[in-house]
Amino acid sequence: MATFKIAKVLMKSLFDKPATLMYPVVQREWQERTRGSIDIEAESCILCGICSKRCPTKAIETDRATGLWTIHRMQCIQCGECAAACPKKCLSMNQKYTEPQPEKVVDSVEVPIQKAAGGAADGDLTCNKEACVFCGLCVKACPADAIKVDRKEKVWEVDKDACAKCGACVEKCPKKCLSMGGEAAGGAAAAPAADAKLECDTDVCSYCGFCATNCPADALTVDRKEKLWKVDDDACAKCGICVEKCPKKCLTLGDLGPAPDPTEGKDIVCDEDTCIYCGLCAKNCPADALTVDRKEKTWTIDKEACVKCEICVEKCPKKCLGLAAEGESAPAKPEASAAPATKNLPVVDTEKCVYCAACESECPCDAIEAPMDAWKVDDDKCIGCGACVDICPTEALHMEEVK
Amino acid sequence: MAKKTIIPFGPQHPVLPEPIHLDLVIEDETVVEAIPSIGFIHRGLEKLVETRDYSQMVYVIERICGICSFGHGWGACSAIEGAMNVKVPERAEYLRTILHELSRLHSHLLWLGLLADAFGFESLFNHCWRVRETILDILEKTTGGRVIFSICQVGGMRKDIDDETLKEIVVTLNGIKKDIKSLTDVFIEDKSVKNRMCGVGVLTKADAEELGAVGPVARGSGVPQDIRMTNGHGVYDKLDFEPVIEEAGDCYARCKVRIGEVFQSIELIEKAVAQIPEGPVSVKVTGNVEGEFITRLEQPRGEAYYYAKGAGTKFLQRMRVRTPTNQNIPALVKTLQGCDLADVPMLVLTIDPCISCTER
Amino acid sequence: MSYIAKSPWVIHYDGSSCNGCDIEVLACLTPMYDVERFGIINTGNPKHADVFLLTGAVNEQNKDVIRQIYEQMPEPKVVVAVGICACSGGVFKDCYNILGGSDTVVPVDVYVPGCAARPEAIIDGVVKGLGVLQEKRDKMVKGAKETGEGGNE
Repeated sequence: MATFKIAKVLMKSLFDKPATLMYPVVQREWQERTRGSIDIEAESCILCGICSKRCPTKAIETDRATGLWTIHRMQCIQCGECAAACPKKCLSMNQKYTEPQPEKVVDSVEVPIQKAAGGAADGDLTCNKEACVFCGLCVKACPADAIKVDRKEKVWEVDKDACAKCGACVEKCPKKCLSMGGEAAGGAAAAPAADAKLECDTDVCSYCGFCATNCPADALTVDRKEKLWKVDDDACAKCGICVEKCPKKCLTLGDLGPAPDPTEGKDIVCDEDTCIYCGLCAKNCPADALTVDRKEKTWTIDKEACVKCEICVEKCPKKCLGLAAEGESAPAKPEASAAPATKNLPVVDTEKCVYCAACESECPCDAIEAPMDAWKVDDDKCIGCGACVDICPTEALHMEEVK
Repeated sequence: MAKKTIIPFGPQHPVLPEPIHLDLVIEDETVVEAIPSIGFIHRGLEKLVETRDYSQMVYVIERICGICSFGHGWGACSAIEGAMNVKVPERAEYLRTILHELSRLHSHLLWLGLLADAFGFESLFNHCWRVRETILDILEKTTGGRVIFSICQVGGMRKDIDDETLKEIVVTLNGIKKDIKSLTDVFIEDKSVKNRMCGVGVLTKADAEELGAVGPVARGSGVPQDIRMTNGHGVYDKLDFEPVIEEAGDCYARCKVRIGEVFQSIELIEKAVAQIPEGPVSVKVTGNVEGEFITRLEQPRGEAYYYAKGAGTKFLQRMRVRTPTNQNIPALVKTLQGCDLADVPMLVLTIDPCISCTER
Repeated sequence: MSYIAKSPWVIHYDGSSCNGCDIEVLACLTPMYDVERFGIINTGNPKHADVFLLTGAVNEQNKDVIRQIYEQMPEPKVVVAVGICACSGGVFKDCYNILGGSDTVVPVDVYVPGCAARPEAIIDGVVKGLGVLQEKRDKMVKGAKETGEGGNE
């Protein structure tokens, strides 16, 4: 039997540094995941009320009439359900806890009231069943799982209690057959017959892949190199979106023909003041309709061959291309897209490189520096046009996708 | 003739963190009988299933008890997943096991501290809780909360814990192992502590089996019952271990069982981190609950079971939780008979009472 | 800050709490947060206490207990409701056996939110409570002086 076994621990604690945090003089450093309190970004809030429905303690209240988002801080259990459920991602978990107060804290935030997508007043969600093609995009978009769609049975149902009237489905609907209160706009064309089969006229098809990108059911496969066009008939929702979007008008679906061409009377034009003649547009054109000469500083388009798919507009790094009608000077500038997650950058094989600096002079953006034994590229300036790869005499360069 | 007096113990008592009321019938400082009266914490939260849908109900069940919070969250999710026939990914099961063992660690260290406070050794109480802060830091780093974690959801976990953090956890635990050992040595070897605990509050094996004691109370009396071995919840069947059993049945034995489990938990966490596979940590669960299911878990205090029943709507029809202290209170009453009045706080603590679990 | 607020003694009672806030209150006494630096002692006797820390909601059975402890405490006294269950009933607000937060039984001076309330928040709440305690003490002293003078006249 031993006595005073705690002596070892006592001695250690006498000489070690103290275990006390000395709060409130020394503030605690929060961990990354600490759940403290909820913050809201009022500009993005659409007062849909999903946070209020998900909250286990009913601590959140949303009032569309007054435009207020209210949280009872003394009811919040900091679980984070509201932040996870918010369709606009405007709620976030802050690490700092709510300070104690002499009265129960109720925080109210004024939300600038925006019209719900679909532009209708308060009303129930309705679907124009004649226009609806039961593609199921609204189901995927619904953050409250309130919609049920059955393509085979041609059933569209909404659970009115679960529906938070956020309008996400109205925004996503390709046929514009959904609306919040009031009559739905409905698509122009009637729905095609159930047994209609999607077909492509491969003589006319340019394999641009527009139909595949726009298909809500991922039913299409298009390969430009192999000149392949394929449809999965089981997955095909017969919604007709591809038929509408096809620039060559080579698709047919039963009785559904191509819709009137929205690009009629417009051609691709280039703002030659901004253009750097990198040639990316020409490289990506599926119809080989563009010719770009960097030395001569020329940009030409074969209007007959052009299919107006606008892939060049998307790919242009300087945003100098656009669809414009006859007589319009400046092309309509497309919206600036967010910075892509990956970028195409040149990578050098130092064993093959002879430091001739041809790539340096060829680069339209002055992104490359090629002094002896020190080849480098400026990631920010490089636009991924690949001109350096083309000009390199020893094939020492290749493009790679980098994060 | 010895005179009988009745002394009320609780609900407000400095050594008890929770309100329990005991009417102690004493004869000259010896307790002859103890009559418990509970109900101070009863909230009636099982009826909330009528107004909270099943995923919100997990938050309510989690808050039955703050000390065994993770186990309750896991049990509730597991019962609902069983009723909906949802299979949780492997990685999620491993993470749940690791966090449950961490929860067991913090619960046993908390109990050791409170026990030390109960028999008057306040500096040991402070040291135990000082060591426990490291574990709470780990729990906060991984789940976001020190006491209530809110990390289990129906279908898996809400957040993943990456492998680097898991390895750091193992390193931290191995770092404080020595510290814990020097503290637990005091409980096991110190003469004055042994004087207080040995031979006090004896529960024989026959009594333990008859009264239905569970957890360390049963294992301290020689009953080899550990639900982790038999039930197959979590990944315990893949981690090789034996339950800690002691034969004596007194306070000292129960203390040794819990100390053994502390070190066993550290080993289990190490084994689980070595074996954890890659993969997703949750599956998307939609639809309503139809059918019923029971899950049994080994909480730090013993066996708990969770029953969920659904009738096809998003609200459950019934959620019933049977917690371990519920079973251990008859054992408590039996051990109190014949003890000294001064030992009562220590004996009440020796079954690790969690009255909020009992009363829900 | 005069002497009253320099070393307040605390009495803690758990209503219908899940114990989360209670162990955080006890964690304040332990080495990491160590409120004994400020002279705060956790006492069991209501007549020795200045600050009443309440956790958990109030149900039929413990409302009398809370009332009795409150009435036994000598003036000036401060009630701090720790955790959202004590503030307003918390997650269990709709339960059949819960009457509500602590303010259904005793007047609350400081509300400390959180589930479970962090020890830092509890310390902040107690410090705010000390400010209220000081005000109450000043009012008491002033009141006593005025009655004293009034009596003399």
